[in-house]
Amino acid sequence: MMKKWLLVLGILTLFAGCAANKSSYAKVVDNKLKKEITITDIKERVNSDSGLKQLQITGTNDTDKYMKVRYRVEWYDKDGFKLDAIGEKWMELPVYQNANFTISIIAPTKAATDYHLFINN
Amino acid sequence: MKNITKITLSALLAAGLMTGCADKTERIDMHNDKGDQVMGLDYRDFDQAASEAIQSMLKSGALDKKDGSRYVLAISRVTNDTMQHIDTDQLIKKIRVELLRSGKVVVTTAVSANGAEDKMSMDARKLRENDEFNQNTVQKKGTLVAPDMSLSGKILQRNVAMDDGRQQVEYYFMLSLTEIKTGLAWWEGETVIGKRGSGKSVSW
Repeated sequence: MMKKWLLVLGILTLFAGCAANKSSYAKVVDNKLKKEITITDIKERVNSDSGLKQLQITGTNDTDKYMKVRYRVEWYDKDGFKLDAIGEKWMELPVYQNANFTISIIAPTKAATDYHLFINN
Repeated sequence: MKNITKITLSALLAAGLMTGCADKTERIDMHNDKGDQVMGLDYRDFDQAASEAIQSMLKSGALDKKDGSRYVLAISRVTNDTMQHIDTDQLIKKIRVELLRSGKVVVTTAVSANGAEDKMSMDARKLRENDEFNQNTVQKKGTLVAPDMSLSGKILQRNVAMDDGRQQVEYYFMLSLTEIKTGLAWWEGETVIGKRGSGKSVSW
């Protein structure tokens, strides 16, 4: 009986973990740009000194042209409420031809646990 | 008489046409402004400079107090060394708001390089001798909190004439965060924004 409960608890924990990850994402919003750049990796960590979440989004420019793209990030607290931050405004990012690009962002406050990052042209 | 009427009608028609041709005023969509750049500094430049400074400051760890509490920050002198009539608060206010939100810093308005930003902290203390006020509600001596850190900086402009007659304008946003106890700068940042345009453009 005990084993069954532990199994159910384990499955529930797994589902909870998946849900938390799903609420954060990074995506290219422009349809034309989607064919030109690709997000290849998203790294996250919480800085042990500051307690702030850090993001590093890596992508590639698959074309032969230099581009200046824009990105913005929305931050949410653990309950899904959106937090105000200057990072919500579009920021410019140089993306060189046939090369990787990196977006490095730090959360505006410790309360920021989830994010939505958008890349546009 | 007929001529006068004709002239008047023509003038009215011309005036009407000119009014019709006048550009319509429209409100800027501050969230997605793809409007043309200007040679001077506009709000987009201040947003970018402030955002870069905040990100750099938070990443540096200079604002992480060991016991988890907040630093008290005073705003020192931020010089406008450009040819434009800009209020440096356009930059500093954005940084202050974001640092306050971060929970790492609280800004004092009782001390700054130009005197108290909010004089009421001192004025309210002058009520100590006033019998009309309940003295229990007047602030006691020694309650104001002195700053730990100071934010200072400069906005610099450099104009460069180009060979083809156009001009290049470079703006430098330079900021320093100094620990008042030691006088050491714990963080420094610089954002450069460059613009290139007609030599006839006036960038002030």
